[in-house]
Amino acid sequence: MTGIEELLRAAPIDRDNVLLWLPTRYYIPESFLCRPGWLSRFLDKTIELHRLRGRYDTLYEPIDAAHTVIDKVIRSAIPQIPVANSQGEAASLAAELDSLREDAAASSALAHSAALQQGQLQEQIGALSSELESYRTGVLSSLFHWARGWANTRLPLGSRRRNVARALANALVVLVSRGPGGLLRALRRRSPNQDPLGESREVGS
Amino acid sequence: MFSPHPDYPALTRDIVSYLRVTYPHFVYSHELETIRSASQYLIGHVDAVASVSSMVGLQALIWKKKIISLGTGQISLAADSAG
Repeated sequence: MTGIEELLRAAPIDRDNVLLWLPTRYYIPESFLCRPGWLSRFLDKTIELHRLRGRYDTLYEPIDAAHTVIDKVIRSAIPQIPVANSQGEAASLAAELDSLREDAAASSALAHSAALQQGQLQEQIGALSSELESYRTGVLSSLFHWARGWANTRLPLGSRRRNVARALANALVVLVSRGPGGLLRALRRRSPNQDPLGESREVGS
Repeated sequence: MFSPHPDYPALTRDIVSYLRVTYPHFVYSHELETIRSASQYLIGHVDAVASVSSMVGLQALIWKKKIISLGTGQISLAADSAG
């Protein structure tokens, strides 16, 4: 707290980059902590950086598109300064101020309610997306591993049926997790020695 | 001017009295305790904001105020003075 006079006289420094960095990368919304896909990637990267003694300033990746995050911050802001719950003259002034605000508030109430409903709908969409991601990374993953285990024990190593089954299972996972576009990209990237989804065939292994 | 944390108002009347005597420039109003997160409404009227790790530091960034970071926290990144 020393040298405050000099600090106040100093020319201001533009820190808009920090202002953008903090809410878009560091202040992680609670809803993201409940998304298994996002949280899993975050924890994996944290462990990997620790293992490699990496720089933690690369740990924080964009939470979402900047305008999406900023819109969320603005929506959660308190639009009006609350009136103090004091007594006496202050309370009477507050009541008078309330009555003066009433008309203006009535006209903005509808807009505020619509914005609130929109926010709630977007929260619901986020929750549904989270559930869908949970399904993809949870149930589907378990089912896939069970099916692959079953195929590994029942189908002969290197057999055509086994390779076809593996390729179809991998294609199904890519189709669900990355969509048709992801499946097409995976198929285009395949090499002659790989099955359609990039896993090496077991012939000769 | 000191403004209390919305969930942990640390200043009792005795402490406020002590600070007023010890530091003549200390300004505090108990009425601030009746307004939740009162700090954010004061930022526009001050020259600088001193904060430990409060979100008030982020709001001071929005107002382009000088920031004094007391200790190490996320707001130290943007502080004009950190200690």
